[in-house]
Amino acid sequence: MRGLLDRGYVYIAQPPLYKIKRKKREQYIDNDEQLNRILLELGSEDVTLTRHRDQTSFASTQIDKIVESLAALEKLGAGVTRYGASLAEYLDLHLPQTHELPRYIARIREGNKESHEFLRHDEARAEFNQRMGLDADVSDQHEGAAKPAENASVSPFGSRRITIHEIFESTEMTKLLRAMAAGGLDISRFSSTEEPRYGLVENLGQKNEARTELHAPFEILHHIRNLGRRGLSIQRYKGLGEMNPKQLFETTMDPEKRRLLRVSIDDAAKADHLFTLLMGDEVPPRRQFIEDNALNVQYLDV
Amino acid sequence: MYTANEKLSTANITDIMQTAYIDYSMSVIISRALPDARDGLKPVQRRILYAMLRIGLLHNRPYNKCAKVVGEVLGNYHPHGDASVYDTLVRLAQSWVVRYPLINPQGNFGSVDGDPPAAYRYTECRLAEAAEELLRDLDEDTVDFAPNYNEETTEPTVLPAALPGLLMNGSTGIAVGMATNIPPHNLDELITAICAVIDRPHISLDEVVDLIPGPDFPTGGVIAGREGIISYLKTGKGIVRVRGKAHIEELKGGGEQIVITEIPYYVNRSTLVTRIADLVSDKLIDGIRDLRDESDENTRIVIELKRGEQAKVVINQLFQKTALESSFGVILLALDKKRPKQMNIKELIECYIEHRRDVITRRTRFRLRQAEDRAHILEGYKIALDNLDDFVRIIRSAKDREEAKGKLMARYPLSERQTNAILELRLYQLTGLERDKIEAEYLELIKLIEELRSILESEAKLLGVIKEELLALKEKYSQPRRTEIIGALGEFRMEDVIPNEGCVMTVSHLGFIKRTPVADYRSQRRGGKGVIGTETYEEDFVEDLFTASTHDFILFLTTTGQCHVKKVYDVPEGTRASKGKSGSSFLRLAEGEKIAAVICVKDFAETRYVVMATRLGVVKKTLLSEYESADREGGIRGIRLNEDDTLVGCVLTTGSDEIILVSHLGQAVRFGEGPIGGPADEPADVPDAAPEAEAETGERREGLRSMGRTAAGVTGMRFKKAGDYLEAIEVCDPVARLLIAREDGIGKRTPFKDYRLIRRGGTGVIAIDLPEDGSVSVAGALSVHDTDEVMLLTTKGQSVRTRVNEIRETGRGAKGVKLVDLAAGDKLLSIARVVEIDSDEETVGPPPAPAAP
Repeated sequence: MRGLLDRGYVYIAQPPLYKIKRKKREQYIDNDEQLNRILLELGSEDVTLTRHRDQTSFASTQIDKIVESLAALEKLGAGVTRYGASLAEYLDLHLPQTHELPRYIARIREGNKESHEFLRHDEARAEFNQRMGLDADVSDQHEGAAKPAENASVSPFGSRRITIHEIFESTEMTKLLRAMAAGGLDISRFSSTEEPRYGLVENLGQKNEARTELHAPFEILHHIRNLGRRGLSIQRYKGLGEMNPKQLFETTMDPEKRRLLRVSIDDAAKADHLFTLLMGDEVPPRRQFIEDNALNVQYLDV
Repeated sequence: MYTANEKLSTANITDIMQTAYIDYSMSVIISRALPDARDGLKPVQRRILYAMLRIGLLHNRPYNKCAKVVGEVLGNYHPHGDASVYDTLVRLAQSWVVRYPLINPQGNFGSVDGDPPAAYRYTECRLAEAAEELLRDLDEDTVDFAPNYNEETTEPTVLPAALPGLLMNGSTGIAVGMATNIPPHNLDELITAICAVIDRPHISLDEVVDLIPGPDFPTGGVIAGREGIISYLKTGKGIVRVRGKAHIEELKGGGEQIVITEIPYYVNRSTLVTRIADLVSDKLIDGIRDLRDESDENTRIVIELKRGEQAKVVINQLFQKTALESSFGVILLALDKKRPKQMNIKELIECYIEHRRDVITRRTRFRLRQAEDRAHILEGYKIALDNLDDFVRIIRSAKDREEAKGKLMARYPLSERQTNAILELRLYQLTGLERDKIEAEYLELIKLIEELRSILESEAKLLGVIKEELLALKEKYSQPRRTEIIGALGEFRMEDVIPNEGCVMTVSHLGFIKRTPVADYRSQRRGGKGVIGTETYEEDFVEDLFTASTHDFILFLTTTGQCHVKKVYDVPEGTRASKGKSGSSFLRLAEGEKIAAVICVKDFAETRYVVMATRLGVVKKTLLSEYESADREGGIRGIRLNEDDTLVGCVLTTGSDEIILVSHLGQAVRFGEGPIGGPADEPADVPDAAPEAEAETGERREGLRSMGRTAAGVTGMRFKKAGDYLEAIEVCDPVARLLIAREDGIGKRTPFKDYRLIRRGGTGVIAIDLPEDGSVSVAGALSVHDTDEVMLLTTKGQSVRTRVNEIRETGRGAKGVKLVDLAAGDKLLSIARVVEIDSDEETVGPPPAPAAP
C-alpha cells in the first residue's frame, strides 16, 4: 500500500453531487457551493434590478455581485438567526462610519415571551449584566464552549432566563458591509420597509415580462434564488447506482472530463497515528477527536 | 493512465481521512444512531411513523402490508437500505422489545426466542395508538419540517411527542466514539416526575430520582437494589442488574421444580434454555433432572430438580452462570439541539418539557390564527345577515361577481376575504336557524380566542395545558409496572441455604474427590472398625480422608504451583462407594497438572501458614490468609516455580512447628520454622553424620520466614548427589512417626526427633541407607500414626496394604524391615496412607494433608 501511495498510483474518483436540468440543458455539479453559485447565476439571467430611491438600474454583472455579497452575509448571519433574532434587524445596527456590528446577543425569556437584545461590546455587556442582576462570572462563557452562558440559579421554567451568546462572525460581516458600501451599495437599511425599495423585472420587454416589488435587500437574494430554481430539476446523487453506464462514463470515468483526487502521503508517521486514532481499539481518544472536529463537518448525510 | 489535460488534484491521505471521518462520524451521530432527546426517536423511526401517518395507517384502520410502509419510507424519506427500515419497523412492534409498542403488528413478527420475523411481503402493520400520541397535532405547525432528501416533499425534524418517547420506550444505538443505551420506564411514574418538574422547576435531582423507581422492562424481571439505578438517573451512566423471575413448585411425587416465568430484557429465551441444558450436560450445574420449555405467549421454563436438591441453590447457580441474571449498562445519551449529550434524568425531563412548551405555544398560535380567521369571516357574515335585504339587492343588481364584490366592499366595512365568503354563502344559510348558528359559533370562537390568548400570555397557563394533557394520557395508558424492584439482596450467599453439617472428604490416589455425609459412615459402622472408601475402582483407593464441615474451605495446590480454594459444598457429593469427580476436571487443571496437596481450613485466620516444598528443594512459607482469594475460576498463583520445578507437597503450620524434608536419595532435613534460638530450636540430641549441615553460615536468624504469596521461596534442602530431588515434606508430630520406604520394599518407622534438628538449607542427615551403586532410592516418606494403614504400590501394579503398627519402630540408624515382598524386577513406586475411621470417634479433626504421590 505504501508503495502505491508513494508512486502516486492511488486515486479517488470524484463523481458529481448533483445533476441539474433545465429544459433540454443538463449540467453536473460537483458540490453545494457550486450549486448555490449556479442557482444565483441562473436566477439573475434576463433580470433587471432598479433601486426606486434614485432610479438606479443595475447591470447584470452588478446584480451578480450584489447577490453574491448578500448570500455571503446570509451565510455568516446564520448564527444570529439561530438565536432567534432577525438578521436584517441585526445588520441595521451597524455603525454608519465603521460598519461595526454588535458582538453579543442576549436572549431573554420571561414567562412565555422571548425577546433579545444586542450588546455592542464588552462594556455594554457588563452594563447589561448589571441591569439584569446577572453574575458576570456565571455569564462569562459563550457558545462554542458547548454550554451557553446561563443564569444558573434560574431554571428553564422560572420567571426569567437569560442566555448571552457571542457572535463570532460579526467582524467578518463588518468587512463584507464595508466592501458593499465601497461598491456603491445602499446598506443603510436591511429590514423591510412599507414602501417597495427595489423592482425586479424579468424578461424585460418580452411577452412574459414580470415585475416584482421588493421591500428589503435580502428579498432580492431570495427572489433570485427562487428564479434560479424555477423550471429546474435538481437530482442529488446518493450513489453511483443512480447513473446510467453512459452517464457514469461521462461524469466519472472519461479521462477527458473526469476529476481525480490523487492520494499522497506526506508524513507516514502522522498518517499512521491518525489511522490508529480513528480505526484503533481505543474509544476515548476517538471521541475526543470527533468532539474537537465536530464543527469542521462538511457534508452531512441525511 | 490519465490524459494530459486531466483535472487532477492531489490531497494528503491524512487530510482526506480526517474530513471523510468527520463527515462519516457526524452523520452517524446526528442523523442515524442517536435518538432526539425530545421525541426519543432516531431519524429512521421518525420517518417510519410519519410515513405511516401520511398513508393513513392509523390504529383504527385496517392493517396494510409492511412492504408498502417500507417502500414509502425508502421512496420519500430514507434513502438507505430496506432491511434496516424493516428491522426498525419490526422492533417498534415487538412487545418484548418496546415497553409501549408504537406499531400494531399482524402476522409473524418474530419471537422472544429469537425467531426472525416473516419477510415484509407477508406481514402487516398499522400505527399503535401510542404512536399517534407522538404524532398528535403534527399538522398544526407544532414542529419544523425540513425538505426530504430529494426536496420533493417535507418531513418533520421532530415529532410533537405528547408522550415522553425517549424515557418511556428507551433507545439503544451505537454511533462512532459514543453509544446510547436507555432503558424503558413506566409511563405513570414518568408523568408523575415530569409534572413534579413542571410544578417545581427548582426541584432537586434527588427528589426527581425518588419519583422514578427505575426502569420498567417489557419483559418484567426483578432488579435488586437501586444503586445502579440511582447512579444512572443522577449521572446518566450506571449498570443495572436484572434477574428473571423464578418460583419453586412442589411436585406431586414430592420433588420440586423451578419455574422461570420472566427473563431479563434483551435475553433470547431459547438461547437461555440451551445454555442451561449445556451447563447440565457439562456437569457445571448439579441437581437438574429435566428441563422443559413450556412457554406459550407467556414464558414458562420448567427445571425439574433431582430429589433432595436445594432449589434455591440451583436458582442461584442459574443466576451466576446464565443470562437469567444480566446486566444492563445504561448510558443516557441523546441529541440535544443536534448535539450528543449525556444527561441525567432531570435534564432529560427538562428537555422534554421545553419541547412540549414549544409545541404547545406553536399549536396555540396556530389555533389562534385559525380561530381569528374564522371569526373574521363570521364577522362578515354578521354584517351581511344584519343587512340581508340590502345585500341581496346589491348582489341581484350586479352584473357579475366582481361588480358585486366591489359594491359590497364600497358600502360596508368588509375585507376582500369576508366579501368572498359572503358571496359563497348558500341560500339555506340565510334561514333563521342557521343565522342563530352563526351567532353561536361566533360567540364560541370569541371565547376560544380569549382562551388561546390567555395561554400565550401566561406561562402558568401554558404549563398547565402541558400538564393537563400529560395527566389525561397517563390515565389512558396507565399500566402497572412490570419489572419488580426490590431492596438490595446483597450477594446471595450459598451458606444461607446450605446447612453447615459434617461430611467426609475423600481424595483418591488417582485424584478423584468427593464428599459424603458423615451419617453415611456412621450407619454402616456399628461396633467396629473398617476401611472406608474401599477399592471399588481398580487400582484406586482413598488416600486422603478428613472430616470437614460443608462451610469449610479446601485449598488445592497443584504441581504447577497454582492454588485453588473451594468450599466443601462445591465438591460433588457422592455415596461411600461412588468414585467421585476427577480433581483435574473439577478444578479445570491444565494438561499434565495434578493435585499436589489438599488442605482443609475453617477460615483464613492469619495465625497459620502454608509451607510448600518443591522438587528442587525450595520451601516457601506464606500466611494462609493470602490464599483467601484463590476461590476464583482458575485459582491464583501459589508459588513462583522455576521452569523445571514442580510442587511436591504442602503443609499447614502454626509458625513454630518443625518441618522435615525427605529426598529421593535418602537424605532428610529437619528444621524449625521459628527463629533460631527460639522455642523450636531445641538442641539436637543425636550427634550424627552429615556434619556439613553445620557448615551453614550463621547469617540466617530465622528458620523460615514468611513471604508473599507469589514469592519463589528459599532453599529448604541442598542435594549432595546428582539426580537427587525432594520426595516429601511433613510436619513433625511428636505422637506420629516418619515412615520411609525404599524402592526395594525395605522401610522403617522412626520418631521425628531421631532426625537431628539442623538449619534449613543443609543437605541433611541420612534418613535411610541406600546401596552405594544408586540402584535403589526412596519410594516415599509419610507421617503415620500407629492406628493407620498404609498402601504400598509397585510399578507392576501390585498394591499391598499393611498396618502401621505391624512395622517395627526403629531408630534412625537402623537398617529397616521388609515391608513387602516384591517379585523379581518389581519396584515399590510409592506409599500412601490409607485412612481409617473409628466409629467411636465423634469427629476427626482436619489433619494436615499429606503429600500426594
